[in-house]
Amino acid sequence: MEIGYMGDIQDRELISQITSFLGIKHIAVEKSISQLKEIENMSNLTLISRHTLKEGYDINNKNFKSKLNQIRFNYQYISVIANSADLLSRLVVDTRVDAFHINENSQIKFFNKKFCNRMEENNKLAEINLEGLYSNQISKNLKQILRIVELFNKSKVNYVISHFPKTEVELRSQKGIRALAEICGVASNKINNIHFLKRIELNNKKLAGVIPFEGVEII
Amino acid sequence: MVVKLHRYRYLKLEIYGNELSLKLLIQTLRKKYSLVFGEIALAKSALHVLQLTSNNFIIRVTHLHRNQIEAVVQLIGDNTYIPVIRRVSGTIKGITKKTEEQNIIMNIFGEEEE
Repeated sequence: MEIGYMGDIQDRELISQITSFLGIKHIAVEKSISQLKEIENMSNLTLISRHTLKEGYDINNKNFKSKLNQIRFNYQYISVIANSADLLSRLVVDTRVDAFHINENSQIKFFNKKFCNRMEENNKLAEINLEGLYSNQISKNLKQILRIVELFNKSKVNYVISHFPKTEVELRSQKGIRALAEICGVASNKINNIHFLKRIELNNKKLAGVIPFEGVEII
Repeated sequence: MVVKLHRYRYLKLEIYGNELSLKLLIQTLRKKYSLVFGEIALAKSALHVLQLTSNNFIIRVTHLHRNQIEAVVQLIGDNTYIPVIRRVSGTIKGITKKTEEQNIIMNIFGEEEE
């Protein structure tokens, strides 16, 4: 599984060859559900639509509710990159947000123990970006991530991990990503994509109207 | 009882895409390994690479450095090839052996997750 493919899916043959070579069955792409319907029909590969909201570019303290209302029904999975305590504290209790993106700019003063507990209570995922390992300044890029991961390991927050490839050739196998995560200190028992798939399943039910609101399911 | 402090692990590496020479692969691996873990770890790992066919290689490391080399393999690769570790074994015989039963299992559980 690749949970954050940032590239295009124009060369379908190449992608299906590479994914079958790597044993990847699910790819989360930065495209809406309607855009993915046009691309679908790729053999042995399930496409998942995801969106990343950046603080400052897409959302801020004032417009985040309206923005989430607009896009929630267009994507199966929504992740947020936020670096202000105020916005983070509001988003962590918002049911429309699935995960919090942790990259080299994330700071331990915001992703602290208290925040970690609130993530755990609200079933949010921690999305860890390992893109920093592919640069030449590994220590600089990983400093913050390593500290946050060390803190998160003590709690029950579940991780999703990716290096966010931008081309088809940058894709890596699930086992490979797991090996990268392990050298970053992520506990091996927490590296499991089942949480991600469960989340997608739940969101699909919400999108289909089977779960009209939290805690109620129409059978 | 004699206990070996360093037991070797053999990793089968498969390359997708352009062919890669043995010399270039060793150079890239050593360079990346020393960049991430340092020269001393590289010396301790006893890294050694053999070529099976044009796109199949065997990497030998000590069991203590197996996880590290698996991670480093993911970091190599420009935009022309993709490296994948297919199998890990304690003997070369174990890594080259591939029965039909194992083939079937690999087809069913291609993606190693859950």
